[in-house]
Amino acid sequence: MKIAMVGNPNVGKTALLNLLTGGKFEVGNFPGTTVEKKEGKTKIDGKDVIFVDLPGIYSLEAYSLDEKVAKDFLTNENPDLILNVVNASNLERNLYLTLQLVDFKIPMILVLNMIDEAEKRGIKVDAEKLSKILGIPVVRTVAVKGIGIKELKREILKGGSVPRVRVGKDLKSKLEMAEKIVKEVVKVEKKRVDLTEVFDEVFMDRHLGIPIFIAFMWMMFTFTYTVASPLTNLIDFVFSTLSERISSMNGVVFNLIGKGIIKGVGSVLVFLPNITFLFIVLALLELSGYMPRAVYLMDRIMTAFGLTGRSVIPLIMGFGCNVPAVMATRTIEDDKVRIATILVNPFISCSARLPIYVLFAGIFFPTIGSAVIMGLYAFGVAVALISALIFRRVLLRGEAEYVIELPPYRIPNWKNVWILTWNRTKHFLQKAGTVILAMSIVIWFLTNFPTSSIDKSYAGMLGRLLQPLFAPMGWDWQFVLAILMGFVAKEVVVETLGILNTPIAKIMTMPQALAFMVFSLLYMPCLATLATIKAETGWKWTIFSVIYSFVIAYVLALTVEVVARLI
Amino acid sequence: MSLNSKIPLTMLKEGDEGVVIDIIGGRGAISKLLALGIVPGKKVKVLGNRGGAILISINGSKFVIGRGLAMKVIVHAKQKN
Ligand SMILES: Nc1nc2c(ncn2[C@@H]2O[C@H](COP(=O)(O)OP(=O)(O)O)[C@@H](O)[C@H]2O)c(=O)[nH]1
Ligand SMILES: [Mg+2]
Repeated sequence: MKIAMVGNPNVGKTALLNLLTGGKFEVGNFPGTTVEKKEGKTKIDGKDVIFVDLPGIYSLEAYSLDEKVAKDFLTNENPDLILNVVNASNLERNLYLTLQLVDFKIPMILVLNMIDEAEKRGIKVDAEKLSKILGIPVVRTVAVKGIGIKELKREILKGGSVPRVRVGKDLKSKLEMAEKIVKEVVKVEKKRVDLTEVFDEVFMDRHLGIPIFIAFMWMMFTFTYTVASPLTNLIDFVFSTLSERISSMNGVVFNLIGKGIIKGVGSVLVFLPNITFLFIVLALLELSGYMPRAVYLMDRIMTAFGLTGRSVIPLIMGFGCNVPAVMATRTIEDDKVRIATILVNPFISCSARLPIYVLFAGIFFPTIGSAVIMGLYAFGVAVALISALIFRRVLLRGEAEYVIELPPYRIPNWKNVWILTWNRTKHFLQKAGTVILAMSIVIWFLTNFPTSSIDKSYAGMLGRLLQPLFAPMGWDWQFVLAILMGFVAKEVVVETLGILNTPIAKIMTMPQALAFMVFSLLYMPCLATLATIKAETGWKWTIFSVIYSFVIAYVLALTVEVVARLI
Repeated sequence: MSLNSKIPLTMLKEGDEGVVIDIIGGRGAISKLLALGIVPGKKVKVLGNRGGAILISINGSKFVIGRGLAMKVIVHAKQKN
């Protein structure tokens, strides 16, 4: 049995899916968390059931990418049942979609979710009457508390029923019908004080709104840096001891394991705490409902740079990882704004670049490390915004229109915070176990053959070969090699220096270090991000992105080096 | 401003109320707004209008509408007393 979950964005489809399948899909608290369709398999009373979580949509007119995904699925893949999830506190608007689903003549069940929130707002829905009018089963649920799931499962086994309600094909008659139905089944008692209103008074305040937003961003980075650092030191200690112990034993294999793999992978894993903490804060921001507020607060500034408030969410997500951030642009309706947002996203410094800053700032700016790191993040944002302005003026001109719903604030539930954080951290660990592990072997090989004297090794030759390209910055060949290897994944920059045992403080000046951080920040999207850009925009923009970012990185790194030297 | 003036949503100030009377523009814009419940006949309240996008509350939901799109929503401004 194949079941499609359909509904407006942010009504609790994914939360329900997790309950029904025991799965661990990511929920969010802003429209557009699920941009692809996801599947979850389970057995209900021994019967095989496949749930398909479709992107949240407001209508099936197929104007935007996510509406198209949903519509194509319903028309081409003949699901046996539609679970239409609706928000009980906003029934009228949700019913527009329900009344469009009726046209498909597929058996349906209406899931009246978020009963708890509706009740808090004094809204009562007569489920029986609604069921009678639509001619389909209606189940009341509170997905976050698991209420109503048993009954829902029972109804699923019964298979739902094809709606009997009669309604015209055009949107206008569906709108009228929805209004009429709501008049019959919804009763609104007087409202209690709504916490969302109170929060919005503060967070969306004319004067305080933007300072609070900036304060949140600032907290995100200091929290990440300071809280994690004792843990980071601990892991560092463990890996260096291990690496020394093993490599002190005789034999090439021990050398490979100790000085190659453990040293290399360890130099990246050290930053696990930083990255995890960053993901925790991001998850809190996403789940609380604050993100769409940022859309409104930042709209004016973003518009000044040729983007819209819409671009804010993908840009903030970019601090975590640019890959999901680039995918999150799918909810941006306007194609030109979308492409501009994608192209500038790699300038937003992702968690993989954090190790580079932590390493260099720790050596060259021991007292003001977190300020320097923050400065680099700000620098990346500035480059992103100015580039966006240039793109929109020169290559991607045109007006953009958008509208986005603000969800109520919700207290993030620890389980969802954990799922989001773990899924992303897992990705980092997988990279450590695959790409970074493989690179550690490659780099170890390059440094130990044909001779183990580093200067005459392949690594030395390769680094020296490319060094002239970066002669103006004055970097030693080891750094050049690190940049070359780091194209695969930015963590590899730190890894390379670790395996080479580069005495950074001895062979680099402070201006050169600044320039190196700036260059690493900007020089090229990593391989995974490039693949995503290719998938979302095609070859032309991907190649453009590579060339553009390299040129910008080169020019700015050189400028920084020269300016810092003069000061 | 007279009671019956038809003005774009962007001309309402923070705190002003009005009634949606028309949505002008292409099919895409119209159907997007309609599907969200921004429909002729509905009361709308402007919660924020600071030069960028407009923040409104309509039908018990809140929306951020980009300025360009908000220009296409025509409303009756409600007289304040
Ligand atoms: N209060 C309350 N919150 C819910 C309920 N169902 C889901 N949520 C929350 O609503 C947000 C959106 O849920 P999600 O499953 O991501 O919605 P989707 O976009 O439809 O997949 C999450 O923060 C959920 O924790 C519910 O019944 N009551
Ligand atoms: Mg979802």
